[in-house]
Amino acid sequence: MNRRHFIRGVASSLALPVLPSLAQAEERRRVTRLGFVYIPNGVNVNEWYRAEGLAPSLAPLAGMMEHCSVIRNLESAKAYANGDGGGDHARANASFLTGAQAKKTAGADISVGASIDQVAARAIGYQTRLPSLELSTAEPRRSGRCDSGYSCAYQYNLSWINATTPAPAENDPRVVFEKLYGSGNRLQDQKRRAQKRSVLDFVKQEAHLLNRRLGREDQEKLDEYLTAIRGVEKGIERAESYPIPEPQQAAPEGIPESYREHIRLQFQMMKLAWQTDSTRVTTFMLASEGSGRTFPEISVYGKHHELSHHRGSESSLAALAEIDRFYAAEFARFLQQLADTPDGEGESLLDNSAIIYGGGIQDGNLHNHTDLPIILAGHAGGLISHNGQHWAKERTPVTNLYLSLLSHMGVELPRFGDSTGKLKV
Amino acid sequence: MEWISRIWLSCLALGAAMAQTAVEREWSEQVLPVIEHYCYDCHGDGVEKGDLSLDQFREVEDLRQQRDLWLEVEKHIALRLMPPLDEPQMAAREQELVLDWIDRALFRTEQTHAGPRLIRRLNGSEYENTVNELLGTELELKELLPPDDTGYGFDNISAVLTISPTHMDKFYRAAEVALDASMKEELNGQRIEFPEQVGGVGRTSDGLYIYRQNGKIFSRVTVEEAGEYEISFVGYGRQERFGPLVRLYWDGVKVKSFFITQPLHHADREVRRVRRVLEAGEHELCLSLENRNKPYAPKMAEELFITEVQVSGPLAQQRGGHYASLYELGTIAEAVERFMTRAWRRAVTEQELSRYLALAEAAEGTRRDQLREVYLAVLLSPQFLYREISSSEAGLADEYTLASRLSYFLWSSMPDEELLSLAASGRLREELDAQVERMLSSERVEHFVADFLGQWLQLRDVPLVSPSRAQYPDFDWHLLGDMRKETEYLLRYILHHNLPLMEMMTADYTFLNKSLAEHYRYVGLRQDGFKRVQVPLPERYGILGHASFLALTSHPDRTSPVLRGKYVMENLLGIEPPPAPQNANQVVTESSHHSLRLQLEQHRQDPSCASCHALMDPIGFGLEQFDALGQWRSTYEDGQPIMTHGVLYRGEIFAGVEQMREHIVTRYATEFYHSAIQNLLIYAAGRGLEWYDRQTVEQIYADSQQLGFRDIIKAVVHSVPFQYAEYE
Repeated sequence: MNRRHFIRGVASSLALPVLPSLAQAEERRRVTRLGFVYIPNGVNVNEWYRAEGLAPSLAPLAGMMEHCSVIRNLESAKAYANGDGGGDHARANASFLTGAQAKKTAGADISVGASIDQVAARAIGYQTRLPSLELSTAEPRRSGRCDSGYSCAYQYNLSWINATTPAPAENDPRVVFEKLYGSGNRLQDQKRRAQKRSVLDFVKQEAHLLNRRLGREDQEKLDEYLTAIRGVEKGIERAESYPIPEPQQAAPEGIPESYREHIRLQFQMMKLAWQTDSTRVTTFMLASEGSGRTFPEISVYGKHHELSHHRGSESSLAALAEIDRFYAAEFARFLQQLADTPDGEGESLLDNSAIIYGGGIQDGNLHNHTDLPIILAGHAGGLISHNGQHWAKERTPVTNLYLSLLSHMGVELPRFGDSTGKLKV
Repeated sequence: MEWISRIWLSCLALGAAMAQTAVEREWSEQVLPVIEHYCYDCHGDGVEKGDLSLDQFREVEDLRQQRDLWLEVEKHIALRLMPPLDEPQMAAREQELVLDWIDRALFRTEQTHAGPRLIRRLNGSEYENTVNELLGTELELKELLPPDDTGYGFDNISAVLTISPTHMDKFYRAAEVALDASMKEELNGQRIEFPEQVGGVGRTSDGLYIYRQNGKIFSRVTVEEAGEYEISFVGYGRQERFGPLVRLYWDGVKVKSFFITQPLHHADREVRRVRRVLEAGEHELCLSLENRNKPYAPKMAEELFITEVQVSGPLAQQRGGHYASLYELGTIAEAVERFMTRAWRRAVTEQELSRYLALAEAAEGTRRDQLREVYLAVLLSPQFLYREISSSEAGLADEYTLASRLSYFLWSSMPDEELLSLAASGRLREELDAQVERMLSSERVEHFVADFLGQWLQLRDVPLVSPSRAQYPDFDWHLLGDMRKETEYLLRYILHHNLPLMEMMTADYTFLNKSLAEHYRYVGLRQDGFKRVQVPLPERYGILGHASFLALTSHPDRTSPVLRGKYVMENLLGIEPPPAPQNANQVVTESSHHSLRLQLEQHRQDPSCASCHALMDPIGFGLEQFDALGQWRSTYEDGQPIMTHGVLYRGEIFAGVEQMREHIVTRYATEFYHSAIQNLLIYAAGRGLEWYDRQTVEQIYADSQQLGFRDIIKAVVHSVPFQYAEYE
């Protein structure tokens, strides 16, 4: 978008990985945080899109438009059936960050693809105490079958460590807080970690012993177990080699009753995680695809998913627009907080982050995945500037945008999922 | 033995080969012509509507390569979704011929297959129940874990129970929380009051003894029976140089001194105890603080709290509490073996035990700390977190594996002592039916109700129903819990009395409390608890008249004939209508009641929607006299009449819910029972059903004597997938 910035971007992408201790002082100046905020069930397209100017559903973002753009024409092609029949919600959720086609199965052999946040975490996660953070404010899960023959794993998980293992998101702000700041008792935390390390090492040995005796499929399960243990061990190492920040506010008490409060707390945790440089990669699922949430706080008593099958009904469309505005308002509030948080010399957190806000369905009534509702916010350390709306070429894979953002963070990937190149932003 | 089965197998193979020729002849002579005639216009001769070309299937073997596809073909023909309504239809005889052939040729096997052995991670409920049972705690550990993903309608499916670093972290945290709770020992003796206080002791309003300076408290204790007793107390004290020194006197004789090391207001309780042989009769007990005497201390300064004193015994009769068994009884090796055996649900080997003992030795701290570390490792071990991980080779499942299959199926928890000891002595299979009976009569079967029925019938979701506050401003949200309970009570009753499972559709009785009875506008129920009552209206018999089902399948502000029909088809009859076509033209506004039927009928004018909605909608319309909360209505809110007539998919005409239910019960009983069995089998085996399981389902159906709920469960337990460890 801005040539000067773009050149700087290339320069920064040449930076070699440096050891964290050295890196910190050096990189603190311009570190980009990457965020993904997911909204389910599509939007009321009449109110969300405008060829020019700000759409009514995005009115809450009015004060933020110098910091964000609506990106048009992005597509999640793998969310389409492509021969697999119904199940657009499951696919939309599963392919949004993976750019991959979810294997149609109600349980056996679930498979989609590693998600971009996890790929980013693997590339740059070593620079922070937590490689990534996955947050959610999703409602309690329903029992029974999920979307049209797809396992619920697809519909409820945005982040995937690899093609077969989802990374579950944390719902409880208090647990996130403790991840960031520890329990408050450093000595005890240290003792716990020592014991944890020894106990995990012990059971890891046991899994190795077992592994030799098992058949192939069982070994796959056990490999997953071992990978999980190694993940925790790495976390312990990082907890010991990175400073744990001192909390400046009280820990939240848990999950609040009100959905709005819950969202705000999680956004606050996201901000704190970035502010303290505890992690640079965060996903936040506001609700999972097919969410049947009602919104009494804005007097919308219909269920979101059912309203999204609006069939042109004016009352459903009006309610949908309310919901879209509700989410946009909370997102705007988050952006404002980032803008108000200093980061580096005269910059704000918002200057030094890149956040994608959006979902994998455009219109819940059509279940289409083209020209998705996507907002890009933040300046990626000065590499992105905004002017309201950015038109990509028709049916550009949303993964192209991911490639560019990763590039802004110094991570060059030849391709990701169904990407066809970088989207210039 | 092996050679016998080999011969047996080769006979089967021979039989199969012979049968195959007949099947092949039928295919080319009878079945293929029907398919060609009715299907090839769109799905053959180069036409591939919906990406389906049937002309690629020439030989029976070709069909067998794509059984999943033929399952769909079979379904579409059976439900008359194909050929489309505007095309020539198969005659009943032709339809029957094709369906019968597909079933025999593609889905029948000479042997019943067990399916693959799958190692299964404990899900949240199973983990919580198991840990609580192991440690004697009552913690909501599930809340500490990530929510489980589900497949095939259940949350105990092997393939989707993955484990990520986040899971591992949380399993670790949950184990810590549970072990810490298990170390807060409970006193279980007689609580002693001390009416006499001398010196600087007082009593707080909540019954604690507070020492501000040196002082004594006295009590008279009556011992009924001579024997060894334990005198125990919990105290906290100010920590200055040493903690306060408490001396315990029995009949004026000093028994023991304790320094109180727990700081004041400390959250963790530590029990101090002493054992003593006591004579029967009345005795004097005194607790005295002796090392503090600071006359200058401010009046309110606290030196020592004694929060609780107990005398328990005689001890010989009292052993076996969880705390004692975990941390006190026997040597460390005995305690570890006891714990590992229970936690891993099988006997442990010498090597396994010695590895864990080495961990105990390497651990620091007291015996209790060492044991805690070992237990932590036991609870993080793959042998604890996964089931079936160490079961034997292919063939009949070993009895420990069987014990776990039983206990997780019926209790969502670990096997109890009885199951484990029967497995240890190899007698569990002999006593299988008696054990199943015992298990089904146990209180723990509540977990089966919550987990199996909660998911099959989606009763877990009833409390999540959110009636529109605009539409139902007076709705009492507590009622949702009662609604779920009503249905649970009915099914528990059917299970308890081994009544035919179909009773859930027909029962002319139900279980209500006062508020639910009022919700139904029944009169005469006065007391508060749930009570078995006769249902006054035949329209409300069975769960189709339960508010749980009716509310679950409604929108927040109105009923949904489609959702109700779908529930009956999918959950009760096991018929999953195909998903709506891609981007179906959803022109209907399902919003105003009086025109709803008309609108849905218009919707069905569209042939791509018609065939499926013809399956679901009529059932929903049959239930329209129940509103979104399950209350009876004779007209819609705007006074428009409700029409509850319709036609079920095999052509049965009905007017009203009673007739519709009657048709389901008489004409669709096989579908209903098959569906229940399929769900039980998925839940028990932790996997989706494969084509070869059709044979097993038939077998279970045939073996379920009177089709009583218990009969069916026993038949599932005796089935090949449940009994065998592996199929190669």
